[in-house]
Amino acid sequence: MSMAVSTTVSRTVDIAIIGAGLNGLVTAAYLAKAGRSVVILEKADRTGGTMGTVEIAPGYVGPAAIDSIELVHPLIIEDLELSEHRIRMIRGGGLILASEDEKCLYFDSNGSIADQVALFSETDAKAFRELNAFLLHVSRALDSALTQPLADPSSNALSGAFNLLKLGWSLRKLGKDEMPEALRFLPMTIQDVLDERFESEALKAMIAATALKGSWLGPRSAGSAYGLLHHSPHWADGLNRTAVFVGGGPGAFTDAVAAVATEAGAEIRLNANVHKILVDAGKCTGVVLESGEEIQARRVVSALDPRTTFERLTGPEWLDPDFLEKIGQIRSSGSVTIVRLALDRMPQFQGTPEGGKSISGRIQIGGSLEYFERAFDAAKYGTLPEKPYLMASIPSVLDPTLAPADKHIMHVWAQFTPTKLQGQIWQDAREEIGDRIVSILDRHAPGLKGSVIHRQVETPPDLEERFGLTNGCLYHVDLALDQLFYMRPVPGWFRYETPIDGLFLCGAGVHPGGAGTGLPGKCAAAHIIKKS
Amino acid sequence: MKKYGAVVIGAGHNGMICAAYLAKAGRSVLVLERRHLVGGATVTEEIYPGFKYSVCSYVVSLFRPEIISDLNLPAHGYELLPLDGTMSPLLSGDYLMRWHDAGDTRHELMRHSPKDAEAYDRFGQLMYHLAMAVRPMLSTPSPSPTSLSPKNLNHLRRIAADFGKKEEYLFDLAKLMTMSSADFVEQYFETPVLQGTLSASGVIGTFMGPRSPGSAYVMLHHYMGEIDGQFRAWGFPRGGMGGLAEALAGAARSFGAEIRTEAPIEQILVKNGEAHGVVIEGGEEIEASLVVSSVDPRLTFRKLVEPEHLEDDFLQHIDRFKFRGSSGKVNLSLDALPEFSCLESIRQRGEPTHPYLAGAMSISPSIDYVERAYDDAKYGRFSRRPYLDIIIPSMIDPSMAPPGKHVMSIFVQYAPYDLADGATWPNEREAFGDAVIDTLSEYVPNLKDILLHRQVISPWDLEQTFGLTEGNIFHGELSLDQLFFLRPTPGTAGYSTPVRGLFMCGSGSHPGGGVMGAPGQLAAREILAKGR
Repeated sequence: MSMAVSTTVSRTVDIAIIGAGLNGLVTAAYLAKAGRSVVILEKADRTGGTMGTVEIAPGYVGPAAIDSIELVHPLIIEDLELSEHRIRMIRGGGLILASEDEKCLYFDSNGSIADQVALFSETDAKAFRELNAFLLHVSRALDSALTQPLADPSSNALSGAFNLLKLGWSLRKLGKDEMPEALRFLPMTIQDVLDERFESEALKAMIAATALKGSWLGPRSAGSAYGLLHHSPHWADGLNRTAVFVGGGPGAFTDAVAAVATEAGAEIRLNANVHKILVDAGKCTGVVLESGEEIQARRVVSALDPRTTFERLTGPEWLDPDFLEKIGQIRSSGSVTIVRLALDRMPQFQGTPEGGKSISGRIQIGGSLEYFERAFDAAKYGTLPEKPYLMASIPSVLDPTLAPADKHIMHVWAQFTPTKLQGQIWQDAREEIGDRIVSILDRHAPGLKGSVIHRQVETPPDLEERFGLTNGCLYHVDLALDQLFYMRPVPGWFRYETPIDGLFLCGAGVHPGGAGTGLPGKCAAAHIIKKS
Repeated sequence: MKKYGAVVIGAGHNGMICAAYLAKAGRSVLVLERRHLVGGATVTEEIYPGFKYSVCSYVVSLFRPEIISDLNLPAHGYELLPLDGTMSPLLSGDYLMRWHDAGDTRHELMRHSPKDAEAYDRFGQLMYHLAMAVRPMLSTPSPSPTSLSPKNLNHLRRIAADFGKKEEYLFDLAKLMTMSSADFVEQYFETPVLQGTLSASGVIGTFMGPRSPGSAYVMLHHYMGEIDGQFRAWGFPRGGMGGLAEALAGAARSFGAEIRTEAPIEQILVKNGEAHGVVIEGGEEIEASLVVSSVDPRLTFRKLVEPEHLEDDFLQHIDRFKFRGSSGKVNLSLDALPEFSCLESIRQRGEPTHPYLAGAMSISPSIDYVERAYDDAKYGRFSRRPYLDIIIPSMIDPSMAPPGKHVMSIFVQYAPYDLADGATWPNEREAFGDAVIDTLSEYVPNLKDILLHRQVISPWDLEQTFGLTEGNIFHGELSLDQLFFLRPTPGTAGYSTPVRGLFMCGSGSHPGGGVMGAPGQLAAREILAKGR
């Protein structure tokens, strides 16, 4: 195959993995531990991707995008022996929930949330316990379908139906009442789920925020209930999920995965930007780096999103138009803007207990379902919401290594901000949305604005540029019902394979999807090991 | 006192179909109707002298062809007159016309986008195959995912085998069930008005916008009618929708069923967990071996059956079944034909405009237009610029209006049942009518000059006059969590209820609403199969 740039063939490996984010590293670690020779190619100068640690200003570091690790599946921690001697896990505090009326509620992480809810509504406390129990049951029933590749329906659709029935069987064990309820629940809107059960608007908002995280769905969009299940799995204790930070930032966790991989023989190459995946006669033969260096590999595993992989790295010549059409139809919506702040003092949120503990967990701005819906309304027409919903954390409260003494860093995840703006360009809008977000925070924590020493705003196009994410979609492929399970990333290609022999996918865009679980990487590795 | 084999509550089309089938099988059947005329929401009424309105439902499309032959409806006066095409006018002076003739439509689409003209055939074929794949599920009771009875398992196996034959469409079907109609049509088309009009059919009767996931299925539900009767299956019964009701009543009577109007039911009589008759308002009791309710599930179980006969869990399911009507109807008497400004160039060329007015007219210029109409409704207001689906029945059947004059039927969305800020429909009704007239006047400048009478029907009126809970025209939303084995509740999707001898046969049961007749027919079949 002819290349425009001259190439040098450096070496031949078993497996080349593109991208050293969480899933690329998890795949690499499993493959290396299984004895494969692996090289990981990362375009940035450090590993971690969206679960990395980045510098905000000299002396200040913070999370790239995902700030905590409680959604990483415990099997991965166990298999890769990522125990305390490698990482320092720090359990965050409770939740501060700020409503529009500038009132803040505080849920302590030491006590049960339901008990605290009971102080203002017995009905809601009961509903909270019931919903949580239900989510835990369903999540456990689905565990086998999330931690290993989905059963393969062969060319015969009857066996496909059989495999679906098998998954149905594990759901069926939920029982006569919970099983139909699970099937009813999944396609519902989170608003309906919550309106059916709860009285308190603030409590509904607290749960909805979890369901909508990273999505391109409003609370009234069908399928948003699935997001709740996705983000409140049994291993994170369902609705009682609290943030688990890592000493040194989330990058310390991905560093630990990288260390496991390299100790098992994998090689990690930084500043190695893959320019092209090489294909010969329908078979993947390696990659070419931007530098022109060619790396031959029997298998290539892309941790990048499917659109980047197939629209930018492989040529269309080896893919049939139907497949490319499906890839083009994938909805990857940027919806998140990340703001990182360096603060010269600890903010104080009105109406919450004084001191560090109360502020060491999550801070949610957006206290009603309508608040979320209106933020989504603006975004769906390509405009910036007046009031985006914010999910923030100040991990430096419990981890002084992130900032100089008595200084802090704040990580803010803002939704919904569309990738494409109508009648405006992001270059002009970036600082505008940054100002808006800081002002909103300042309303609830007076004085915060004045304490900002440094600020980074990364909009969806920035995230696209920095992490190679199509449209800046942190989940690679939207978490929507038509893009999950057997439909992820595209219908029929749920087994980490691709139409190109020897080319695999292992990123957040494949089953069971992103959010920092590491499960796509684990499942992909399992499948690749089985195939070779 | 005479004891009937079955008493059917409500003489809507489903009630009468069920009654006719039961009578045909030899049961003695009595149908009781609250109003002074039969038909339910399938009626023709002469509200203003000489002008006959199909007050609620206005076209037949999904009606099961086998019902027509089983009940020999043509012998009782049923005649379907064809509607030809759909015109979507634009304020720019242009329009999009889709004719019944595929060649004509293609020619017209070429004017807008050659790409769309190309894709239209592909889209049509896909929808045809998907409708064919779903159709068997609409003509049998829904199987249950929890029951292990041999009959149910056999049923599941048959459906799986059926899908096996249509494997290539399985994933498309899964997408259709879960996607938004906007996303679905955007995969195929680029012309905004084509996108708008196609996706709008996915929101009819639901509280969803075209961008709400799940709306694509409703689009298929509506598409179904286009394939069924081979020839122009969207049609208008001679004499209006009441023409169908009269034919059904005639057929039912011909098999020996009795129909009593002005007989509102006060209560369903239950003894030892078994229904044994009904009480008519005023106290008259009627004994029957079984009771079949064609009114919606909430009316049936929250108004007609005493709660002591029902378990709390079941009632909770009934309470959670979502209605929230979203549509209204405006019927007009016109002194002359409306002059659509978009047909000006045709008038200037001296060509007849009649053919453009003999089908449906849809005010749905883009997806965003319809979505914005939905946004109004989400927050408890009727749409300022609503989506309108219009026909001029007098163009098709001149007997509907005095010579030279016309009637116009306007289906309007959105009109939320629950209004915000304490507003009530009796107060808002005329303002809602004004919004409809103002919207349509933008497309039909002479509308206000030719307007003789108007009848405005809000969702509240649909509830008051026609007994549709919360004004939902489908007896409960057609959302994925309320379809198939979940309609209306898990355990009652097979037309039987927790009360022995009490069955349901209305649109609130599988497979749902539209003037389809399937629930009535399937319920009768189940009742007879059970030997009741």
